[in-house]
Amino acid sequence: MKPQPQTFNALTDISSAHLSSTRLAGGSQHDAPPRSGRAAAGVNAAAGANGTAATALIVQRALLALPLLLLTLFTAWLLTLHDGATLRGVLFGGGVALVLLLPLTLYARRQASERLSEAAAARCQLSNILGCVHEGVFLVGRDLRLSATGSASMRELLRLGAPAGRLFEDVLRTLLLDEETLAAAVTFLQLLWAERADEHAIESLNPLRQVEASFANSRGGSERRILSFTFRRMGGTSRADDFILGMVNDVTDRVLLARELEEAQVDADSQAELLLQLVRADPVVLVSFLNDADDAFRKCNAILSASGIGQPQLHRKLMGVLQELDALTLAAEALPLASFSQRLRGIEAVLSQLCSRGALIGNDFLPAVVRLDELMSHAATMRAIHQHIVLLRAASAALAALDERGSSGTDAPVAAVAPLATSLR
Amino acid sequence: MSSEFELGVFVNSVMHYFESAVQQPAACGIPHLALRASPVLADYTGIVRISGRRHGVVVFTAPRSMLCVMLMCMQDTDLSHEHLLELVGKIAYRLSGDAECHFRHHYSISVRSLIHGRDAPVVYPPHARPIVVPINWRSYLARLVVCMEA
Repeated sequence: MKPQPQTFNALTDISSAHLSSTRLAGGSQHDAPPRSGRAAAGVNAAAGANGTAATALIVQRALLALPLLLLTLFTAWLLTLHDGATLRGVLFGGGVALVLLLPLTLYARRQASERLSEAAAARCQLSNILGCVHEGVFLVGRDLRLSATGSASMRELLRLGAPAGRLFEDVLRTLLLDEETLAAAVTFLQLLWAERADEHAIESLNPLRQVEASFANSRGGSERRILSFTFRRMGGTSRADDFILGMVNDVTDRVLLARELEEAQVDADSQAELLLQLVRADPVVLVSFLNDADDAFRKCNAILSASGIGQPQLHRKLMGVLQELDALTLAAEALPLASFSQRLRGIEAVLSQLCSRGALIGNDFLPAVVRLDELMSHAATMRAIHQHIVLLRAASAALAALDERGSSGTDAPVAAVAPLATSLR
Repeated sequence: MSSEFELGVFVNSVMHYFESAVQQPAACGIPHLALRASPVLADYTGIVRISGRRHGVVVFTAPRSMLCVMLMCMQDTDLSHEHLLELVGKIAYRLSGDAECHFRHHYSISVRSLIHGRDAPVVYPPHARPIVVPINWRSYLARLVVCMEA
């Protein structure tokens, strides 16, 4: 799910409130976030608490400064005038001042404690939100280190036990499969910190928008997931408090489904196209081509299944398969059977790539075998459709003959059409 | 989900087992299709059945001699029939675990079944061609067979 701008704004407000409240309470940010479903309600309250907590701070400081000022003035006065009447006046004045200041102090104290409790509630709500939000939320500082503030999902998604203080680059290095993306990601984050940078323009350069990450699993294997990162620079109370708000989502299922859908659409298009090609094709030539194709596929498979895993043998196998398919591609293009030649070119591209490699291993042949299997299925589909077309043509001819005989007055030989109908079914 | 991705997951799963449990890496041979007949089975076979959006089977089959050496490499001296069957079961368990990890939203992975003997019947999905991936380890040859219907 793509994070919405409102979510960003709300989280920024909450983060600011969190910073202020932490200063007020002197508490730690490392508290474990409890999971709760009251997250949404806390967003507004937390944002409001930001301003009130700051006001409480100002009032508290003013209350401390005022008595100190008064005390200083009294002391200066006493040093210059120190007769009995003056001292009595001082005592009286002090008493009056105390009586006047006491309710004011109590009121201010109550206000301050209210603000503090609001800030604490906001902090609790923030913890709840970070605990239950599905997106992995994290903060990156100017030194590209992760902050302690982060959602529980982030720890799960990135498989991080203690993210606080870790270099984001180090975290990415364990996940990403290639160094190029890592270098691009670091450059991107540095660019995001640039004062004059247009944030929206930079966002379009995000190299981590959709990246494949590899995680080691408990069984010793590795698990590949597709993650989507988004980043936004956020201003803190001061320049030093600025941070980058990062969000990460696991989009593996979405991406794979999209790919599957795309493939299905391509398949559907090619099926319609295939039908047209088969209707137009010469039946004799087509059957001959399909027989040749079947022979070529079997030969390719025999070449692959032959023994020998040394480098010369692997290259020889590769060349052998390429030669077989090359002749078939030319025949498919001559017919023309676009869907077939397209698939053949796909498998040839895979094999050509392998040819350019110095050392080959068995794993390298997996895509070629999968494509060969798909090609054989495609040939089988073509053969089945062609057989149906042949039967339809025969049935159509028989019906035309039937009509002709009906119009000439003779009885229709219905039995002649019956086997065709059975075959079509 | 592409067949290539699925096949890659299963092959990596077996490779990782050799690397982690046996501490000696295996080499993946050239994969091919079993066109004429069902793939040849070795002495011990572990089967994982897959159902859901696509049906299929994943089979790991290895000869007795290979499993014995594997056990010895794992400092295990018990080379009994049950123990060899258990070893094949562990590999099948690894296969099903990794499949569940990667494809849990698409397929349901059934409990593995273990068979002994080269003539034991394995039911492959009809109209599907099994892909055979030879697994070379030392001088031994095991096979990973992946057969998923289209």
